[in-house]
Amino acid sequence: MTMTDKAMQAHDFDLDALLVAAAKDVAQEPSEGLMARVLADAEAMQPKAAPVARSQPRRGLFSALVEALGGWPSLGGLAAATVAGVWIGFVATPAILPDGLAGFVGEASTDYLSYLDTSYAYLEEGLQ
Amino acid sequence: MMTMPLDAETEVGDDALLVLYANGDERAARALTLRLTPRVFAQAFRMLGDRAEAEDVAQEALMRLWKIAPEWRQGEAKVTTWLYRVTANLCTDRLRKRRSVGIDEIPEPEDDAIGPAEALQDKARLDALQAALNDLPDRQRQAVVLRHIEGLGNPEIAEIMEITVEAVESLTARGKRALAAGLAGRKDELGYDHD
Repeated sequence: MTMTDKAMQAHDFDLDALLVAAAKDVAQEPSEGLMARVLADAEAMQPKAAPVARSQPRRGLFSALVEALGGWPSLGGLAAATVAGVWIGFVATPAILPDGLAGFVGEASTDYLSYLDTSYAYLEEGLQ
Repeated sequence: MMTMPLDAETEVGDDALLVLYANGDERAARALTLRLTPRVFAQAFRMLGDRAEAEDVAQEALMRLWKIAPEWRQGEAKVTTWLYRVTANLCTDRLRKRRSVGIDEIPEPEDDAIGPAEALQDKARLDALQAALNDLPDRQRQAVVLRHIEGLGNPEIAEIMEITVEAVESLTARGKRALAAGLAGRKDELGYDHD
């Protein structure tokens, strides 16, 4: 055993206790000023977060429906097709349907009703 | 959206916090500051024996961490290991500079604490320890500070100092022997005889 080993052994307890005390020493705690400076550096040098996408304004049911159908351009086409269909129904029925739509609203409407309710037909016959 | 309190002692690792920091999370900046500054400052303070210089070194070491954050690769190295190494190197540079300009005088610790005799004696002992630390060769001082002040294990110290574990053990042992010898000369003035 060397002299230094002996010296260490003689004071080992003291040294270890002192090192433990030093590790807990408040003298080595950072000051508030240092903490503030470090935080200021951290914030100044921090890469900025990617901007968060702005939230969409709340949409109503109608605008949601318009979007589902493909937006205003396709809605325009849809409206035109609807109008054209109604127009064809009224104007071009003789060419497309044998009796035409006029049959539903003309004199022969009672015939159609009789198909729906046979008792009505008997009543009519009885009356005659 | 995370809701955990990042500035508390949480399970969030330093490297995960650093990635959050690089992504612009403000809470991560605060959490890392609170977590790392005390460690870096304690290491620098014990290495340099001077508060003002230790504050400069701590601020500089952390500045380097903020700079490297966007390129930090998670899992490659421990943040603290990297930071201790940077701090150790900054301290070594300062110590070399002191010696080269002949300013080897360590400022006397301010003695503004007025308290019971026991507290004063504790303070005197800690000051004596610091004085003995200041007398150690740089590498021994680094090893002792990392082992006993920072409480690190030898493998991590080996990584920080870029030497083998055996070399760390040797440096720590020699450092402690020198500390014991340095303190032995002051045994009477430190009041150990009265314990």
